[in-house]
Formats: sequence, C-alpha cells, structure tokens
Amino acid sequence: MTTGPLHSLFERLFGGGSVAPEDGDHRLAAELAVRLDEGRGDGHGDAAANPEPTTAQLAGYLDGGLDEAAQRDIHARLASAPAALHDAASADAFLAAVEATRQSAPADLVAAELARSLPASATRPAAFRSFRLAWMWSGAIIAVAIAAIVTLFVWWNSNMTASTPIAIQPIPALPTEPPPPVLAQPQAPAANPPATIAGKDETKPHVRAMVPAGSEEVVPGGAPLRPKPGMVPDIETVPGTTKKAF
Amino acid sequence: MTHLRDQDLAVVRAVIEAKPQAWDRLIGRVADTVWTACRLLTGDEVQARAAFAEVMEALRADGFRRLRPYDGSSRIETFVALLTRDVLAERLMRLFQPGNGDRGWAAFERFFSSDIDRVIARRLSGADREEARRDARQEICLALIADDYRRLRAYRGVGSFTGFVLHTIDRLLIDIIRRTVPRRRGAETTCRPIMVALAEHEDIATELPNPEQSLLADEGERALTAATEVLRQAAETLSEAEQLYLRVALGGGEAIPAREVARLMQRPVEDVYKLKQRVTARLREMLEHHPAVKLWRASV
Repeated sequence: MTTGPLHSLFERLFGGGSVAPEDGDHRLAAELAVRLDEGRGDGHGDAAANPEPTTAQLAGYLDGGLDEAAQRDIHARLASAPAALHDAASADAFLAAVEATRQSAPADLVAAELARSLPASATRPAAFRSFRLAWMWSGAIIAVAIAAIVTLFVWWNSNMTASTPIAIQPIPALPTEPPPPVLAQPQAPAANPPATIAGKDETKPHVRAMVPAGSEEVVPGGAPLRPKPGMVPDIETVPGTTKKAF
Repeated sequence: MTHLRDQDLAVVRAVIEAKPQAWDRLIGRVADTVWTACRLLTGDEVQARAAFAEVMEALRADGFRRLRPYDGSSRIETFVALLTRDVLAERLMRLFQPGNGDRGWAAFERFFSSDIDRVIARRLSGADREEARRDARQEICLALIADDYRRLRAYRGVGSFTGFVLHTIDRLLIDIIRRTVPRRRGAETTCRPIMVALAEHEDIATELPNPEQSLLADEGERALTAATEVLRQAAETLSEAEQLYLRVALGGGEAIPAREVARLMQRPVEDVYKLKQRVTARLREMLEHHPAVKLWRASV
C-alpha cells in the first residue's frame, strides 16, 4: 500500500487547489481537526500557557501594526488555541463589516454624550478662573497691607522726630571757622570808581598817595594788602561790595 | 508606528490624563465607529441606541480602564470597534442568567448570526450544500438552546466569550457533518478506506459489517490515525505561520482561497503560496518516514 491516499488527502486539504477536491474531504478535514484538538487538550487552549491575544494586541494584529516578533507570537497563540483562532476570524470579519457599512452616529446621541462629559470639562476652567481671582484678590490685599504698614511707619517716624530729640540724630552743623583776620579797614569807595571795561573787571589797586620824603604828613593807612592764600579775602576791598561776616 | 497612530495615541493618553476637551475629541473620532458596530451587533436602531450609551459608559468607567491598554499599534477606530464588540458580548453573557434566557437568545441571534453563517459556509461549502447548511444552522441553534442554554452557560471565563461560543458552534457542526455526510462505500475514491471507516462507526449498532467492510474500516482507522500523527509531529517542526496555516486549512472542507488566508494571517498573498508549498513538502517528507505511516502501510 502506498501513501497515495494520504498524500492525495494532504494535497487537497493544504495544497491550495492544486488537486481537485473530493466528496468527503470536508468530513476528513473536520475529523482531523477534532483529533488534533483532542491531542492538545480541551480545545480552548491553556489560558496560562497560551493566553488569547488581548483586544489591543488583536487590533494591532488585524491592522497590520505589529512587528515581526509580535506577529509570530500572535500566530503561535492562534495556532495553539482554536477558540482564539475563531475569535480572530470573527473580529476580522466584523471589522470588514464595520468598514463597509459605516454610518454617522445620531446627532442627539453624540450631543448627549458630550453634554454628559461637559460638567467635567466645564468646571475645570471655572475652577481655574476662581483660583485666579482669588490669587489676584489676595495679592491686592497684601499690597494694600504693605502700603498701610509703610504709611504707618512714615507717620510714626515723623512723630517721633518732633517729640523726642534724643531719639533723633541732630543734623550735624557745618564746621565753624574763626573769623578771618581783618586785613584792612574798610574804606569808602572812591567817588569816581575806576572805569571798568566791559567783560573785564579791572580795578586799579587803591594807590595811596605818596608822601614826599621828609614830609611830616601822617601817612594814611596802608594800602590794602592782597590777601594771603587760604585767607578769606576782604570783599570790602572790591569796590561796591560790603563786607560780610561769616 | 505611523505618524497618524502617534496622534491616536496622544488622543487616548490625553483622555486617560483627563485633560480638558480630550474626551470630546475622542468622541468626535470614534462616535461613528461605535454607532456602526452597535447597529451591526444589535440589529435595530432602538437596541443600538441603548448599546451606544452603554458602550460609552463602559469606555469611561474606572478611569478609562478599557482605553489604557491602547498602545498605538492599531488605528483608534479599530481598537474601539473591538472594544465595542467586547462590551456588547459581556452584556450578552449577562443576559443568559437563569430565567432571562429568552431575552438573551434574541440578542444572541442578532450578535452571532453572521458568524454562525460564516463558520457553516466554511465547512459545508458549495452550491449543492445549501440545504445542508440550512439544516445545520437550525440544528446548531436547537443544540445551543437545549437544557436552558447549558452549552452557553458552560463558559467559565477562560478566553473571550466570543471565541468560546464560536468554538462550541464549530464542534456542534463537526458532529452534524459526522452524522450526515453520506457514506461512499462503493465510490472509487482515494478516501474510500477512510470514509468506510468513518461510516462503520455510525452503522455498528444497526448493521453488522461484512468482512470486507471491517477490513476497510480498520484500514481507514489506521490511515486516519497515521494522518493525525503526521500532522501533529509536522506541526512541531513548522514555523508559527506554517502551523497557523495548517489550522486555518483544517477549518474548511476545501482549500481556502489564498487571499482569505493572507488577510487572516496578515501576510502578503505571495507569502501564503510559499507557505502552502513548504507545508505540503514537509508533510510529504514525513509521510515517507513516519512510523505510524509505515505501520499503516504494513498492515494492508
């Protein structure tokens, strides 16, 4: 006996149409599927060893979004658990149907859903606004308080200056200097002050009349001396000015 | 990750972080998807409106717990569509409480109608099997309702409720096929020995097999055993994609089109053709050397 019948059977079941199907093949395929499942276990797979893909994994798999390793993992799970394979095939068909029959959700349902979620999204900005207002008000209050404290301090400070001199540092006086020595008696200015040239203040020195030698005429007071450096000049010597004392 | 999915991830993260207007933005993105999914799974507008509100509430619940696993590997619409399916499946499961079964069944039929038709069409394909498909659907539904929805209440939370239900439906369908596929005792087909073996298991109570039929039955059983062993051992040496291909192929009565396999496996069609070639070559090789096959060959 050759392996012909089995070989032919495998070619028909797995060869993808290369060999014409025979009547009864569907029963043989069903029989083989059951026997393979019986050898594996209860047919639902061992949940601990080969868990079915999660919804996220199945979605990624059916959308072609998994990398090679993740896809191999899903293939292994689907091959080992008939229930998982059925679920995946069902999900695939379901997604195709959703895509083919897509329709718009009723506007009232969507609006109701948005309205249900509105309190959560609406209260957040209101709470935020009230927080800002509270912050602003508290800042204003603090500013007013500071201003009041400063004002109080200044007022108190001014009061303390008037009534308690001890408490107030006296303003230091400018250092006093001894009155400058009188260098010359003040003399009446000449009746005819010397002519001044504009922009120039030419004042001829007050020249004492010379007394000839041998004359017994009392020589009047000496001509005013030019002030020594560092001494306060006698402003009286300047015609037209009055002597002022410091 | 594409730039668009980065944006999707940013939208979801903003929702989870409860940023202002983030939830409203998400609703704007997925409202149509959720609505369409609800219409498909509930069957009418009134039920869909209630389902829509329930799904939205479920998405918000527990600090957007259902949205947290989103990692941007899919479009947000895809993820939320599957979440909608999960939420409505859980809602359906709760309906099968004692005393509430009838209301649950109406919702069940609307939810799984297209899936039941798809599974049946895969195993009982062909224009000449239209009546067989209708009969199978009816029988499956009766089996699910039997004993106060005992088979549906057998779900223990392992895996998804949807996967559990569909696997249960597939097993019921296989049982129907085993019982109803006509015997081909006289047919000169390569399956003859195997088919006789299968038929013999059904007739043993009503008709004593003749020696030839017994011989064929034994031969057929060994052939099936050998085939099963070869497949099981081959699967251990195949890649994950090749193993998956094997399981997908055994989900139908005839070869599934390459583009359907490619879609389910998320591989290019060219890759699927290469997969088929590698799998059949591997099986051919093992048929020549597997001990179970040698035993079967020696017995005949």
